[in-house]
Amino acid sequence: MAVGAGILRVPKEAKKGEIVKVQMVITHPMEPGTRKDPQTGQIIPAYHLTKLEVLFNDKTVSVVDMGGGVSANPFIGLTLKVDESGIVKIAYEDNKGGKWEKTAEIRVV
Amino acid sequence: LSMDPVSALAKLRAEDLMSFKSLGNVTLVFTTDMHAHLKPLYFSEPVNLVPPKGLEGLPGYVAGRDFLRMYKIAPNTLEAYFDSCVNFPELARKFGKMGGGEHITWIIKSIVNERGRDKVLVLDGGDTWVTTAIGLFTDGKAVVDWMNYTGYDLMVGHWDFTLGKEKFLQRLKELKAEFISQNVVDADFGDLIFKPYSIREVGGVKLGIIGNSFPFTPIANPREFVEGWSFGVREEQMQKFVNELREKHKVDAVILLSHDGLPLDIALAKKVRGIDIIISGHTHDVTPRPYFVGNTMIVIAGSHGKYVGRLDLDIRNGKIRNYRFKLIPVASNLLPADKGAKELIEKWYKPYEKKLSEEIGVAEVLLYKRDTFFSTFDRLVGMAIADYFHGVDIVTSPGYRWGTTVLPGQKITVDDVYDFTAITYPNVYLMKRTGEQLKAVWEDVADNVFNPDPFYQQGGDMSRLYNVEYEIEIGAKQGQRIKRAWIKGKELDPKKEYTVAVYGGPTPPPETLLPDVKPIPVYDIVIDYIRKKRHIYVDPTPNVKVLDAKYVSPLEGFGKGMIRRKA
Amino acid sequence: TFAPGLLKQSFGASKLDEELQKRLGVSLSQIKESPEVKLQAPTIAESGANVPVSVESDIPVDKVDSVWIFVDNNPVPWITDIKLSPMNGRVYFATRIKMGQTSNVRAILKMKDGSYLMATKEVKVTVGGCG
Ligand SMILES: [Mn+2]
Ligand SMILES: [Mn+2]
Repeated sequence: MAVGAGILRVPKEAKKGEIVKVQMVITHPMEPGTRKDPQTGQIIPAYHLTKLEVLFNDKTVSVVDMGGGVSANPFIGLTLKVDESGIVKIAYEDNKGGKWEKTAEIRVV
Repeated sequence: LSMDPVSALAKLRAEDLMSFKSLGNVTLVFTTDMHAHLKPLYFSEPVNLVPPKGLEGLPGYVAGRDFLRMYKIAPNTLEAYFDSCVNFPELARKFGKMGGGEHITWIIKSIVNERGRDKVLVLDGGDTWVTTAIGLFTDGKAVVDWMNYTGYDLMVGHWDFTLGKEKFLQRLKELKAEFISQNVVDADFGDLIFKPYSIREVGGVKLGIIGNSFPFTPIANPREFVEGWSFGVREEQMQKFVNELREKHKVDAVILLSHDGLPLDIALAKKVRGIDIIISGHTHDVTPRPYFVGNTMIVIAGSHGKYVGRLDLDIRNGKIRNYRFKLIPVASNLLPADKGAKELIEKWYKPYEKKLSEEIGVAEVLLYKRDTFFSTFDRLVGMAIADYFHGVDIVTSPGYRWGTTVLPGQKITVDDVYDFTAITYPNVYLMKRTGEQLKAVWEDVADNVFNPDPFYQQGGDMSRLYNVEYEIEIGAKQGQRIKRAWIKGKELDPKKEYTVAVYGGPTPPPETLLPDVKPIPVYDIVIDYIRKKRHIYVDPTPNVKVLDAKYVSPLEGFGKGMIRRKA
Repeated sequence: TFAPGLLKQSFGASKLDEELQKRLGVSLSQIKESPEVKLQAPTIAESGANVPVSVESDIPVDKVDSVWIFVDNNPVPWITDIKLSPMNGRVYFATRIKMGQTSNVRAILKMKDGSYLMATKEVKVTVGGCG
């Protein structure tokens, strides 16, 4: 998958007031900038996500800061209290100016 | 080979082995770690089970004469023969081979007949489908077929996964028993791959059986086989399932069917509340009596098909009121065979019979595998590999706990060699390693064996190092246990590069391998070597000195009979 | 001779202290170990490149500012942090981290009252053993 591609996983439906899991996996090499290429011996330049914001109906739920210590193809899991139907959005960026977004919907039943 | 099963037969009968005063309304029948031994074999318990600091005297760390003393077993009895190494060569001639699918089936069916099918649950603890020729050549199918015929209900796994995901899942489809594991999850989102537990009505009560497969499968064996799955002990999640079974499903008893290993399960029983019974596996230990942690009963039924565990329980209104337990020794000379199972096993062997029964040499010394540090078979592998790749400095052989035992004077067959080496990733690789790197790896393995906390162990024995002698302090800190080491008589030099032959571990990264060396399966090397030498003698003196614990030599453990007397 | 493991230990500790000062403005000795912080991580990592960790707590989420994850013996001990809000509903954070060698992993809750609570677990990174 292309760098920046993401899978955002939330339950389609929730009861009002229910606390649900929001999970995501993002395709990214997460190079810390300290690793050497085993073949060439050259330092591999830093290339990793720096920030990821989680919003619900455009209100900020959480902000994650990260560096090259997070595994390649980062996984992030957190919780969200669902008080109304709406859109979960994740917005994330890397140290080379890449910016991406991804959304998913939750309906209160 | 002189065999006198008759004198033994005269004293013991099948009824004596099976004798059991049935009790209560539930019978659990279980085997574990058969390692695809559908045919009877010799298998000696280890001379040593050297304990990490603080775990001395616990089940799983007592062997040989100490074991007989701990369980008050009279020497030279059938029980002593099954449970210890003491006088193994002589007793083997007296009592004959152990295990074998047709006898296990006979035992299980006899118990089912006696109790009634609705009162019995038949369980298997894994390490069942592979690591013999028949397991390897049929990708485990022969064993699955036998399990289906015998009537197993539930199973967990470990080496079984080394078939690779695709074949493994195919076998599960064919298996009539249910595979349960709460500790195997999708590596991304943590979703369960298998059913975590099974609820069974047995003898009029509800049993909740939780499964744990080997927690360290992707570390102890190549990760490729289970790519995308994550294991681990997952004790927090296990606690959730125990509570769910009790509160939501109102079961009368909670049973853990586990391949964690006995020391880890003993530690686990202190962390997870509310498990009534743990049926353990992986470390191949033998518990003639249950071990209790608080109210949790822990048992384990040995390995290689040597035992069938029988646990009768009186369970009423959510309480275990009474129990009776026995490990039935599968003494193949003294027990009838189930006709159908015998035919089924013969059918599976037929295409390979000729190849496998070929006699390629004769053992001049007892060949065995299991011990904390050293075995004659591993030294033989070292000799064979060093002979094949001229000029290697070191051969390392994995500390698996499975194999077979070949008696002094016994002919060695191709099947025997596979019994020791039949893995799905058999290649021997050559690599260059500095003394420093080697020591780091050995320290790593030593910590997996001797960490005082079983949650940080992996339940195997120490890697076998050929052309290496070393001194080890078990109780030293992580990274500081190996005090001195010599390669071919010269002190290990941290800066020097050594050529090392390895097999049976995680697949080495390509950049570490010597170029232009064709990988070759370990069993081919060993078979050719035995053919060439015919008479196989291996010096039984260990290459390891343990500085701070008792370490019994094989000659002391097995007795002088381990070396063949010259005619 | 071989470098004793002890050196690594102390090196890890001072490195961590530097990092804590830089990121949180406190030193390790000022942070309380608390059973209220529950850190889940494997005892033995399946791969040092990929160690799943999760942090949770029953402390009400509106008392917590953020959750931080550090690894003592990594070249850069700080791994990640997450700012929480009442919309999270509870204190929970899960991710996967890299570990170069066996080390303590620490989960630190930065509380809104300026205090810190911590859970620590040792994760072993190994080349593997034997089946
Ligand atoms: Mn086993
Ligand atoms: Mn096993």
